[in-house]
Amino acid sequence: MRQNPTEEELTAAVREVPGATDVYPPPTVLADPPETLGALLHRDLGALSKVDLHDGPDGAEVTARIGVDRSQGAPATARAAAEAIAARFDDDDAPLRVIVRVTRIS
Amino acid sequence: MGEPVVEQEDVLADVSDDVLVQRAVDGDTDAFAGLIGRHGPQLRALMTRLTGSQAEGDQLAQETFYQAWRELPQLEEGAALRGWLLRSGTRLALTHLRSTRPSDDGRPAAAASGDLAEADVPDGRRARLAALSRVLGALPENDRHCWLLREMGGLDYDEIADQLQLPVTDVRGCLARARASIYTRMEEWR
Amino acid sequence: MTASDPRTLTCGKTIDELSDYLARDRRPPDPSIETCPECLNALSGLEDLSAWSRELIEDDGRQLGAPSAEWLRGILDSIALEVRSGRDLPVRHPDPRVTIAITEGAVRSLIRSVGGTVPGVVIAGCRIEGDAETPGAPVRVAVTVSLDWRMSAAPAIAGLRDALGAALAEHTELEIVDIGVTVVDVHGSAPEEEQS
Repeated sequence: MRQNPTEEELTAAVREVPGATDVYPPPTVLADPPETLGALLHRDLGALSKVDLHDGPDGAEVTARIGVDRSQGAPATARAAAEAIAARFDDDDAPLRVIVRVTRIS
Repeated sequence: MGEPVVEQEDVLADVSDDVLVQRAVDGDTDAFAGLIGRHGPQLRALMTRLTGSQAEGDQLAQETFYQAWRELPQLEEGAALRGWLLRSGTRLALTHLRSTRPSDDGRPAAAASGDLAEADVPDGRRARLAALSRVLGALPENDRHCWLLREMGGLDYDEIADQLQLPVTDVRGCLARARASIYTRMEEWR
Repeated sequence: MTASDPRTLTCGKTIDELSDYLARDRRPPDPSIETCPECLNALSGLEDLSAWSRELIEDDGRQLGAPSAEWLRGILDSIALEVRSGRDLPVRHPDPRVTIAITEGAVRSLIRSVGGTVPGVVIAGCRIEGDAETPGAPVRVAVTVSLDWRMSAAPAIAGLRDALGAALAEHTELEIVDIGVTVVDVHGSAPEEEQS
């Protein structure tokens, strides 16, 4: 039985890509920000900063929001991140979508 | 490659509030930090005087800046930011005071000058400021709040009435009483 | 002031009226106040109070001191999550399963930081105009800047345009047909503050 990689493994794979500096929380986390700063800071930001894997009837969908540096062009780093994610899936026939967004260039 | 010639923060120190606000609206947290540096001191001072506590004052100032970041796109121009911060902070402070302490309009609050109390330095100016601080602390809470919002916050009568949930005529009365009190008690310093 | 009500002077005027008069910058001049020694004395007293209030604010600022690094961090950490992303600017990839984009927010922060590398230039705002979400569609970048008043504008603007062109070519796949730069503000120490 094909096993998908975990979000932790995918996040680690992205962090290892040269030029990738950070992984940011998925937008659903940010969609409804708490009213007060106190409530916000109590959330575990580290745990939320990961690649998002959604496994549905149409296959697996991976979404990553990443930060990159300027050691190379952002498009090249983003491509490498997408490839690093795709490489973690063994079954080439199983439907897979990989979405990488560069949200910060530092 | 592409390393800044000058630290970005240093350059941002020279630009107008308008530029900082525009950058902050676009997501620049360094620009927002610059705005905090410029307006933080007055906001923290007002929050501390309203609550009598530096710890509460600092926390309220933080909340105000957090709200400001989110509402910054609605600000019409950079110059309006300080007024917005003071009004917004005042609203948070008064809400906080109402929820944590029972209303005691008539009686002077005990440690109202609180953490911004007198210094021991016998220097004339410092002694005068210390006296002003004591006199303020002795005012009834509503009178003190009116005075703080007007003199430190720069709010107009309508805004003060709105914040304190009082009719404007009461605000005039409180301010007049506060000024008269301070005036008579500070007579010796003139 | 009368003994019975400290807010009313013996001449009949109240502190309230005089405060309002001061707040109006004593305009239009009121002869009944301007010729009354008691009123003039009170006005002078109220002006002193205002001056002391301003001193108190400054003094408060000094007494409180700079906020702790933790205080500032608390604010900055909370806002860092509120990323203003904007549109997705596409990056091509041969694998049809893969979708890659640079966010508009990332490109704007790149533009701001490139502005910081050009001496005397600080980017105020930037807009990416055109159908940037469509690969290959023509896009125009419009930037507003604050310029150090001591710099000459033309070389600084040209330098900025070059630097932006290079950075955008390297970090995006946008088809940029024009980079517009408008000076909207000036900054820098005033001439009398210059050390000679």
